[in-house]
Amino acid sequence: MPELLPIKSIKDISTDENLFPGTPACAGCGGLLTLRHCLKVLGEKTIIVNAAGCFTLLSIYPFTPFKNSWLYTAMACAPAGAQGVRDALDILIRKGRLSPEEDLKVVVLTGDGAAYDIGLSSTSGALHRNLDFYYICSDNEAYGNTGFQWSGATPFASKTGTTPAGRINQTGAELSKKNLFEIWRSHNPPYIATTSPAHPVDLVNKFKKAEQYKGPKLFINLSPCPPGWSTDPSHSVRFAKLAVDTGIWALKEAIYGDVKHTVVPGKFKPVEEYLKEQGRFAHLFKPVRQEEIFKKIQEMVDQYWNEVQSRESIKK
Amino acid sequence: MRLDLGAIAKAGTSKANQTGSWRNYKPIFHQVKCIGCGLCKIYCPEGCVTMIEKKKYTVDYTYCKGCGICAEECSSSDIEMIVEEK
Repeated sequence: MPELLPIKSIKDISTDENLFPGTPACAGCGGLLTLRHCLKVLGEKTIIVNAAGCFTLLSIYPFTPFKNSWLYTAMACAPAGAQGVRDALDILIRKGRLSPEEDLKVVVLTGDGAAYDIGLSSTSGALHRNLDFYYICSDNEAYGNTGFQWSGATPFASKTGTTPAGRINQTGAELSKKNLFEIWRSHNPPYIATTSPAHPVDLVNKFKKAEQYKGPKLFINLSPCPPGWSTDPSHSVRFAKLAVDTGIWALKEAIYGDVKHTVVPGKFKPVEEYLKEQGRFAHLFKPVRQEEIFKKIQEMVDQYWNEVQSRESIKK
Repeated sequence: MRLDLGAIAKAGTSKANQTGSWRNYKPIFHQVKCIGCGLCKIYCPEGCVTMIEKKKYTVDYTYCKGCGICAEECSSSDIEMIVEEK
């Protein structure tokens, strides 16, 4: 039986490591930090099905930082690969060639490129078939592995490799971020949550809670990316924290479609505090301050929380 | 390193990559003002900060990439980042 009692402080997080050091991830990678916490809860009886992305570099033969198994698939088909693995495990157990104790948890690990854009259709298929798996999307808001190009997860006004800010286009990315949480929620899976590396207690509790459900369990994690966001590696956790405190990244969960916000800051900071030290938003401050863009981003955030407030009666 | 037939990598073989050589800045754990909150350990992306005893933490320089999150998040400013000289 999984442990259902929620933990209260970071002291309650297991000290066992299921992710070894020596990975090729960048210094200060927010995604790697979260993956380390996820694997503490998931344990070593796990198979990770990975779609092409930064995390593919973690396990390049003959090197692996994991205790668990690893299957690498193309960008579009990680959930389809997970279906194959799940079916194979079920058949082996049914035939008695694998004891039920030897069963593995099937975890799909992708970046935002595979989750928001390229692999969305195969995820939709897996959700529709009610496949029993975990999905961890490490969202650094662009195609980080190939040079930080624009993706469906890139927020409004972010500078990326393919949306450079200059004389002609002063905004950067002109479209706003896709709402993947709501796309997933429309399939009505048992559990969806958003997580942040700055809130490990919340993250561990969400994984513990998800364990009791059979079916798709999906997580979107905001992963600060020092080379892509042009931030100092030491500030990764700080920006993850600021994203939550400004209301830009809402920490929430949806159980069978019922949304609840898990961490709501007492007083919201202005979004400018989150934007001002990131290189990808530097064009909003220099050479001229683009006030109308700050206003637009702040309005988007305010509108979101006003809707939440009226729905969940949370004090803002 | 010995490779097995079937191309199966043993758990944790990534430890052969000593990523400590990437480091430009080196964290120094003074172990003086430490209040034992454990934030350095929980926020280290590599998982190479360990607790020796209560209010005494140390880092494995073989793998520490020198990101500086431990020094930034330390609640008592007990960790200092210094330029690494090799």
